[in-house]
Amino acid sequence: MKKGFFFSLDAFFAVLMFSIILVSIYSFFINTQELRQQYFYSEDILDILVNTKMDELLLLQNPDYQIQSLDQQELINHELTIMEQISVFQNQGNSFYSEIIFQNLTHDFLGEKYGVEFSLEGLIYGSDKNATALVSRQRFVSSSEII
Amino acid sequence: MKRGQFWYGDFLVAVIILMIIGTLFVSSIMDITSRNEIIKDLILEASDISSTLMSEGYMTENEWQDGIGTIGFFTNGRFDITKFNTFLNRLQEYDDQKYMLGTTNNLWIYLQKRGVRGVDGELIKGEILLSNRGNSFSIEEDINANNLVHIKRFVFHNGDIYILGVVVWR
Repeated sequence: MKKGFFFSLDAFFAVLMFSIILVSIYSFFINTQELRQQYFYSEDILDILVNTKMDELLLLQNPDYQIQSLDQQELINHELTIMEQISVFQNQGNSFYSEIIFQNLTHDFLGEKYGVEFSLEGLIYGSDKNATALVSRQRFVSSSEII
Repeated sequence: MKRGQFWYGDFLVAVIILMIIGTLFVSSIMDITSRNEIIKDLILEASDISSTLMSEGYMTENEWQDGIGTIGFFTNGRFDITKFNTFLNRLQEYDDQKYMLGTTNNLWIYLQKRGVRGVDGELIKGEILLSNRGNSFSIEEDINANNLVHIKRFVFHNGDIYILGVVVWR
């Protein structure tokens, strides 16, 4: 093998390493993720679920949403909060109903950029998104049994 | 010409190229860093303003008019649209609104209804019910700014979830 080949190979590796280092430093400065919006979304959604009664939801009267059919079948207890109602459905093994409530309430609010997962004794609703930055919030909720 | 002079020439060209790349790299990093700093400031400000608005505020609406107290749109833990209306009616001057919310940057606060699905399933943005900038903007893209932060909060009002948006830009 000729001497020049080794020099070219060395130079090639040097350029490669140099480029990798530059790109790494550059991406470090660009990819500083800010999680405040995700935090607000999750906190606000939990606040609404915990503090709002089913009776207050206008969606129960809107035929465009599946939650209305749950109400027509008299499956919904208007005196419970949204979170309590979801919890009751979970205890009854009707997690599909819980999913309908959560999906109807929050669908279309988060936009293309964000995804959401909601769990209560297991996953109830999850959007098909790969998370690159994630915020998780938890609350203790009252129910007919402690979850 | 001696062989060493060729090597020296190559070396010089390589050093010059390296210096040019280095200079461009450092200047672009500095540009990103300074831009990140501005964006960080705006994020902090928009977050603080949104959190203030999501509180009950301090002092009465009459005192807000005199520039005293803290603006908040909640009453007993629930969103209170009359407070938002009071804020818009009593602090009609844009500068007064900014002063009361403690910012020198540009500010757009709005309350937006839930979007609806069109015939083809596309999402049609919800109507903006209240805004401190009248009809100047309907979406974030209407604002022409290099440094802009948009924070959205969810509030429960009139039987449904609404978006309380805070946009801050420089």
